[in-house]
Amino acid sequence: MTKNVNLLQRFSPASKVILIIGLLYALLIASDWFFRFSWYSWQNTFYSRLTAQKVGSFKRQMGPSMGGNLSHMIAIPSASKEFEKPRPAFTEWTDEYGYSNPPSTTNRYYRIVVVGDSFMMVPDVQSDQISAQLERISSLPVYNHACKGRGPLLGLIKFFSERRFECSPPKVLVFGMVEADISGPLYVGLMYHLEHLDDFTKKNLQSTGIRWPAFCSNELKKSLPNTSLLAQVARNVWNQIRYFVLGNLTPDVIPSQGKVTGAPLLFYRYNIESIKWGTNRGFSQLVDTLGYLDRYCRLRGISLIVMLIPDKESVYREYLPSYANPPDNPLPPSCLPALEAVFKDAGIAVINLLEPFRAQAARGRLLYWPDDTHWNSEGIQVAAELLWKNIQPLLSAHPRSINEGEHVSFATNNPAHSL
Amino acid sequence: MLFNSYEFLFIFLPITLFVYYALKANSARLVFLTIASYVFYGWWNYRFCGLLFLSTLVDYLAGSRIACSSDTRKRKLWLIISLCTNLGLLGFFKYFDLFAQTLNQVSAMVRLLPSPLIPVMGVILPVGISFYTFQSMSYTIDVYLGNARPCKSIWSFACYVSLFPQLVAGPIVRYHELAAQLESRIHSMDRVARGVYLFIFGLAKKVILADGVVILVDQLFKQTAPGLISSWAGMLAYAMQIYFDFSGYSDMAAGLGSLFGFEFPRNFNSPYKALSITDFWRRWHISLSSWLRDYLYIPLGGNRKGLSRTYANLLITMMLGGLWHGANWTFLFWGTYHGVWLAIERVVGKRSFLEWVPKSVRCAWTFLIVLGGWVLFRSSNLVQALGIYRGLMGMNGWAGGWDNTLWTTHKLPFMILCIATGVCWLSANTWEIRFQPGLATAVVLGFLFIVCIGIVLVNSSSPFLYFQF
Repeated sequence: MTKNVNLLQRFSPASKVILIIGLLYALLIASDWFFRFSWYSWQNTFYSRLTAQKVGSFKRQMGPSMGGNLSHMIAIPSASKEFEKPRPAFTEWTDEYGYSNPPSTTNRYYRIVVVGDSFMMVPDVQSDQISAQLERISSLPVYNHACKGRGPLLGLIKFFSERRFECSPPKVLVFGMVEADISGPLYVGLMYHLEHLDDFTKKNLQSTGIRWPAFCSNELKKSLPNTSLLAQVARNVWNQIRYFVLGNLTPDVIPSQGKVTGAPLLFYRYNIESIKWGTNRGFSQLVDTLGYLDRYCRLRGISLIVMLIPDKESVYREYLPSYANPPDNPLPPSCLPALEAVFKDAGIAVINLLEPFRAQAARGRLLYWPDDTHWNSEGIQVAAELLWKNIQPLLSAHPRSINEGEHVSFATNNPAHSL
Repeated sequence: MLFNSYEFLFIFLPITLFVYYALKANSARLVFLTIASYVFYGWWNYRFCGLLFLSTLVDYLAGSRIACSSDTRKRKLWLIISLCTNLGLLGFFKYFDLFAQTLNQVSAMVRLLPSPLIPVMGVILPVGISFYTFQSMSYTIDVYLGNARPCKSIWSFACYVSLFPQLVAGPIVRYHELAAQLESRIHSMDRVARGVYLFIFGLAKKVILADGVVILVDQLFKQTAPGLISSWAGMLAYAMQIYFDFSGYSDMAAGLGSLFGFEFPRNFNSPYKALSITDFWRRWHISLSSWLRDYLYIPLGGNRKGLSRTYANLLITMMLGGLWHGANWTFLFWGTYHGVWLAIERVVGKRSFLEWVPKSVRCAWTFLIVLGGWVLFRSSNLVQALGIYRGLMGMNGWAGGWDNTLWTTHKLPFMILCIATGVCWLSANTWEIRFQPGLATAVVLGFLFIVCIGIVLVNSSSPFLYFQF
């Protein structure tokens, strides 16, 4: 100890400042980068796997848990307690390709495939997800090809580029489009991907697939703070200070005014902000892109159904507190009916869940987890029933199955080139 | 890249510091600093690195040609080439759209010419162009006037123009102030420790005080008819925001400069403690006001050509200085407003009754005038500015747009506003505080650094939840 003190005394006053600040700075940087790689697996964002690669199926028992993404954002147990709902234990599985399906899917023919993001493969109670519920209603195998956490398009792009379904394409492809993600510019890239699918597939057939766009400054600006343990700690500390010193919850999460079936709801500020965009979301780009996708699917013998999924904030709008939806300056109406009309005009098959959901909500049904942005099994059930009503006529129009010799091959020609 | 961003603090700065000190030769260090500065600049939009390079190349060539030529016409020609290039770049990227919009509006009003006369191109303003063009231009002017020797190495000059600590928001450092430092610098522990101190205090001013009151400013400027309370609270908040933001950035720049051995001039000197508008301009954005004085006011004739010319020169200088801040007529009015006050102070001179009143009253009076100017500076148009002036005078009522719940929902911003106001008038500024390195200073700086990093991390986190799902 005395030795250490003597050592410190040997430094000049300026050196002590540099030493202490330097060590602190180095420690912060080193720990942040260490956890970025080890905890958040940031490195995976630079590597894409668009080709179908068997990653091995798994099945594991998940224990019961409490709360959803919104109550977790509060990050203060005493404050989030009143909103949190228990999740039962369930069996989590993935198929050989890493998708959210029961194992052993390799030689099975699927007439229905669902794609999208986290709404299509809710993280809680896998047996309740939309593909599983649709399977129960229709008694037909339904393949879940959704990818959570990477935006709405990845599942769709992977569906085409993996080419697993080339020789046996499904009859119906259901694409779940969540209200908050409806933005024309976001979808523009899809057309480019489909047009260059051959190149993408060729590239990705090789073992490595470096995602060069992930190195762009805009991508890094997003991914760096989101994979920072220090940022997470800072957010949590700030949440604690805000709650215990200032008496406010994190502004990202907004508690409801009133309860639905006895449960107070949590709303997500980002979704409310996105409602403010109204119909100013690049509808023409959306129609161009999804019209293109629709024709692309038809050339492959697939019927595309776009399912418009409303956010909780649109369905339970009357429960928003007045500061989030001021009476003198109310939020614009949801963009979904306008988008539905535009899609229908363009001949794209579309299901808008807003009105059915609002009708059910008016009856006091809770279709979303109160503590999460996602729908619950009741909401999924309503969606699955409506979806099956729309899918049925499409399947009866094409009664033949793959076993009856309907092998569609387009491995050599990309139908995008004839569009 | 911003100094208060994750990518700067956690990637750029540590790598740059490490490589810089790993290199031994000064030339290698200059080359590395130049490359790093281009990366820093290109991080925002790499395409605009070309503009920076063009400005550097033209001024370097012009400087060399001016220095090696004894023919006055040739020297003048190269000076004109340099001025035209820099002012052309600045004019096109900063003012083209304003010019086109104004011309189209005039032609639509006159109805003699087809409308729109000139298409509005939606030109993207390259970050920092106002700073580096002024800096680069001052070099050729100084070489032309014989106030500076030409730079011998293009790398050295490129480093001077692009040096990242002062590239995007100043201070506007003259070449003669840095020339010797570009050739050799002192890398002492004391200088580095002072750099750390300035950087951390600057960061704290920016992220705690300036960013902490933004919400009050936004609250004011989204109202059409703000009341008295809202107007005064919002404008006071804006006065604090702009001061701590800009002076914080300048401190960070000076601190970063010190980390790499450079010594930058002071850019702010407690401007809200000024006792007159003339005094204010000696304390606010010192590098710009001295630039305007030396390269605009004095060449126009300064105060040497009679009273009326002096007032005219003052007005022209302040109007152009105002317009330098942004392509909006409100900036021109802001500059004119200050020019008029400077002229009034010159007219009244020592007969001013203000000389008789206590310093605190003069300081408050000056602050009120400055605050009146900030209304024009922050407003997006004159209609908005008029609405706020009405609010400040109570013509929109007491509580227009003011909701009592704001006290509860904006507790922290109000607390920060009180602290900022106190710091502004009651404490010495970062340059006045005598930096005494030691263990206690290190602990205070370390604590402040962690708080600032925490705030940066909280604010930089994207609300995009996909990663969490």
